[in-house]
Amino acid sequence: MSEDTVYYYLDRKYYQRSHWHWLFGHLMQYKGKILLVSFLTLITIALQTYIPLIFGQAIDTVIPDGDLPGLQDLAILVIILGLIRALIGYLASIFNEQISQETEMNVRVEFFENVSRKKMDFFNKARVGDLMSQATQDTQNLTFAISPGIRSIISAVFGIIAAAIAMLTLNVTLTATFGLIFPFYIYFMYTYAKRLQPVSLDRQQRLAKINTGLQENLTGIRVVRTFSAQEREAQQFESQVRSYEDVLVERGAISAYYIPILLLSLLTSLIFLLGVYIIEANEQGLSSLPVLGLNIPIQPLSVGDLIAFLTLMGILVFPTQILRFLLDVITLGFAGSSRIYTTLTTQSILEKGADLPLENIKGDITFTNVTFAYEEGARPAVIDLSFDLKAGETLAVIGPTGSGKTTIGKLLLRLYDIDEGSISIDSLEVNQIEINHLRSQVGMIEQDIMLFSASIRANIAYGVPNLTDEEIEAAAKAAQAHDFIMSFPDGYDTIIGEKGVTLSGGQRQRVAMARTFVTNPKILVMDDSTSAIDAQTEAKISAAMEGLLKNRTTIIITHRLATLKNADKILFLRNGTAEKIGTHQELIAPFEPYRQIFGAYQELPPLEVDN
Amino acid sequence: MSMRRKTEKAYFDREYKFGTTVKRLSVYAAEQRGWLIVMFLLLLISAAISIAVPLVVREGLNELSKSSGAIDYEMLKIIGWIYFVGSFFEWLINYAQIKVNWIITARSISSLRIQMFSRLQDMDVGFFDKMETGKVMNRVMDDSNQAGNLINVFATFFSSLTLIVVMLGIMFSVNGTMTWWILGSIPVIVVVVIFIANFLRKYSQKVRRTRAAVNAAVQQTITGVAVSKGFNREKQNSEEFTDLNRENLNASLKLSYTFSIFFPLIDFFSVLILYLILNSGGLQVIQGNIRIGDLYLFYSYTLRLFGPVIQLASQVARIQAGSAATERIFSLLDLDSVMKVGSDKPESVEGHVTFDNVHFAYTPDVPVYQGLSVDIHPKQTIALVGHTGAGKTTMVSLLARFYEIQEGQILIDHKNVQSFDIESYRSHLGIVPQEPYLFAGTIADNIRYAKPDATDEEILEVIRLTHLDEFVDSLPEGIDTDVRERGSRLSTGQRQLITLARALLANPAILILDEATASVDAYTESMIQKSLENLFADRTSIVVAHRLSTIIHADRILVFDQGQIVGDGSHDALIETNDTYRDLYKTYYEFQGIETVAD
Repeated sequence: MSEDTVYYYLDRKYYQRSHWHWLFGHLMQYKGKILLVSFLTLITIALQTYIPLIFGQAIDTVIPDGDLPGLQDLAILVIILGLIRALIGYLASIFNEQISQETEMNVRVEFFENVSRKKMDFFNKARVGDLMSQATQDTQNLTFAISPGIRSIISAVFGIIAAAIAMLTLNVTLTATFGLIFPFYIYFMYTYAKRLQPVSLDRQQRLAKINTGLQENLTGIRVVRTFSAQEREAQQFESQVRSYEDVLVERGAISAYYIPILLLSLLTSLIFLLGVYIIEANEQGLSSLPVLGLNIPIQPLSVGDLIAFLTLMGILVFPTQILRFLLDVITLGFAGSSRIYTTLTTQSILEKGADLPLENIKGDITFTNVTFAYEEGARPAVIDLSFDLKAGETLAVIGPTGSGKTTIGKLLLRLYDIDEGSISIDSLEVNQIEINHLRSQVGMIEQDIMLFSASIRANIAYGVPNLTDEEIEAAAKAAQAHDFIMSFPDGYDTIIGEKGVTLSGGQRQRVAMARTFVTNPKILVMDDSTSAIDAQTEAKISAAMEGLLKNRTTIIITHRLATLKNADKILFLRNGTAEKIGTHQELIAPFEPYRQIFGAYQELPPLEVDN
Repeated sequence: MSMRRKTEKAYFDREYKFGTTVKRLSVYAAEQRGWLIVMFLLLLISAAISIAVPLVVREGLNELSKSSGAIDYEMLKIIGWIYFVGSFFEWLINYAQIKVNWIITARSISSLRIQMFSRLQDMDVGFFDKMETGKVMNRVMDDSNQAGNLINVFATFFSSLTLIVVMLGIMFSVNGTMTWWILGSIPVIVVVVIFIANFLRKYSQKVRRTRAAVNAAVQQTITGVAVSKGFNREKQNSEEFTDLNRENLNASLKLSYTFSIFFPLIDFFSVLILYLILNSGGLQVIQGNIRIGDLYLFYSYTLRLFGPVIQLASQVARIQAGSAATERIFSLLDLDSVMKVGSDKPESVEGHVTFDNVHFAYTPDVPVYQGLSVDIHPKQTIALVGHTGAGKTTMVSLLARFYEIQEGQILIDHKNVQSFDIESYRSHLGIVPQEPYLFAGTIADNIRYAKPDATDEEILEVIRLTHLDEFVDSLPEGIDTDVRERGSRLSTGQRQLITLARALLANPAILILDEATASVDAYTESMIQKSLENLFADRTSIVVAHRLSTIIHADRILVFDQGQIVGDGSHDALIETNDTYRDLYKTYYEFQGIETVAD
């Protein structure tokens, strides 16, 4: 998994044209099975067409002839063919389900992998609810489209062809009438699909909107409660749900207005009428029929043929109806696939580098004239920043809220590509280093701690999956987390709620520290600007950290005087620029802003300690 | 070490009997009885047409094939034209029917979603601690979609039944023996369908659960993407995700395999009946008991009869399969919030807070408070201090009524909070939580969340008080800058300041700051402190903090240790008398590297 290469689940060529082509590529993975299903479906269609013909034959010849054994033979033939049809039909649908559901899964896995490789910019802009909707609802619509799709298209198309052939053998005149109307049938089908398409996309987008709103409401539930905004939220949700309802009803109306089925039944009645005229003409010994002043040549027709013809028309009812349903689900599937395809092909990957391996590093860090903005055109978060750190040194970063402190760590971890300048580790530019190597050497403890709803054990072992229980415990002890973990009845197997809400802020921070300890990084970035942990616990952690920091290059974002005093260098940031770099002693005397920060501390009443 | 999500039931999932499910669904059907009646009538008309058409055609065919006398071609032509016009009406009816069908379905889905959503709004926060967001979303979005489709059953069931009865009646009138033959096969179909339906239900439950797990995995991965990248977890995440999907795939395939038996089986039954018609019917024609047109009638009726029978059977199956979804929905709707609420809507609150012998535990085995009592006077500023996990935030959460206490009582102005309407009670509180949460939208939108009708001037005022003005001014779009989902465009400190501004805008009687400025640098914090002093003056303020600079100005300090208040008083008093406090303060000094003054 590399983040600087575009991820292609399928062959590259399927990503160059459109979502149709991409979906086709997914289906091509199952071309063997698709052929098999097509073949089996063809057999069932042949049987399905043949069975009414037997019925026509019985009415036409066997019954009027009083041929009892012949009748029984036909009846047994019907039942045998019926059994074969059922078995083959079952087989076909099993393979069919495999194709469609495996494709759905493949698409979802592709989506997941593709999205995981996108750079952070993508996630800053994307809405979680929308991505979720694509990964779940849109992929599911694909199954609904593909599953009946393959079989139904074959049944519909070949059903029509087979019925046409069968009709042709019965009576040319009647078939010709059918053939005259058929182009209209196709035309209406086409307009139907065309009208459904934009509404389908609209439907999926509105669905994603509900999802997004719901997701935000649920994750921000405490804020919603705090401001008693439940009613407002419910109103907003209702309006989104209603707008989705409107589009469903609108789509339903288009779907209902499906003219081919009308054409077909009108046609059936016309054919019945025509059949009557032909039989009448036959009786009178005429060989042509006057229609609108033209003499149309006719072919003689028997009653049995007319019945068989009408039954065959009856067979067309099914494909016609299924086509309505089919176009309905297929347009929906395509709407989903176009949304997924857009996300998949959104170019949001890191620039391709040389992928140099970086197994053992010393830990020198150099920032040279680094400029970086989170978004194009936005005010840069870091401007022309330069500093260097020798292996094992500690850099403390300090500065007002929003001055770009956290950004430094993110850039070192290469969550983003910088706009100008260079960042190097051991004089290798970070964008030339193989990304997984880089990230396994740089550990980061963030300010906003995201834990996963899994056991504490799994959370600690997040970066190193094959840890022993002893190693996990050792890390927890080092992070001063062991004691509180053991105070839970389930110990390390305690499941923490989403985002770890059942743990207190300080407890979460310690689990996060343990999580980083186990990866044993050469370079550590720690965002410690929070004061969520009480002083005493922090004192314990810092004792543990002293050991951890040995032989590591550390960048620590802090406001704590003790840390600042011990740091090899202090970087004072303001509005993304380095206002001053130096030691505590160098900064405290001549640098007013730095001194100001400690003003608050100096105002505290002195503590008198008994000796 | 796997982070795999469990696919088992949620803790509150229950089972519902078939009858209960139908009864509960009928409540939603009753909401739409108007449309359902229209639907039923439309179905009856279309049924009448589908019964009439073969009858008319039968007449025609009998006329055509009669062996003696002249054929009445004029009558046949009239039949043809009736057929022609009838087709058009059939289409019209069909059009209306599909439209109504969609209206009913769409409304049912909306109604289920809205109901679940408002249920969720009433749930205690503990519920959300236990349930993953992705799984809850799955219920609201996906299960409702499944269940919403069931409501139409209430119309189609009766119309199918009517259709079957009428058709059987006509068939009996033509020929009893053959009808009995056909009738005999119907119970077989019903039994088979019900048998299969049982499996459908079992498998679809598995499908729904595994699907919810997939959903949850997507949600967590997307929200935790920065962590995954930092720890190089992408590969393993994707393996685990593939596993979850595979589980879901297997369950879905199993369901489809069972479902796939349906149609071939029904197909086969239709052939079987065709066999009966041909064999016994043909014989009857040969023997002269019935005519060829009658045979055609039987043929087309059986095909049409099969429609409603299959529909009826598959409705049973659908309710069975859908009950996996309805069960998940009903379980959620039936889950009572643990919050005890009254209907009192306090107009104004003075701000007297009393905890009286409060017992509380998040999980039953791990008590946080075993008899916490404290009395806070109006308009005082109270600081809560203590170690991590000592129970400071819990006090704040209980006061905010995020959780329900197990014993004792919490009083506001000497009234039990349980007697208040929860929303109107909370409107007197302002809470700034540890974790600053912002919604997608502009800075102004987020601040205005506290007071929808606030003017821009009011917003600019709280921005000034929280010292955000310099930052906001530097933005080209000022307060109309979009902060993106979760406020991802801002730093944590900035997000905290915005949540603080939001709480100030609400102008609450009781203001609670839970580490509200922990991520803000000390300098900015001290500036804010100064501007807050006035604000603290005329309201009860409860502040959880570790920075002593924040604590020191409090009227009263409560020292927490292991769920108990071990110290209570001013800084000067506590530093003299309270060991825990002195300890905290001392380590703080040492830790900050500030010189202590020894005497």
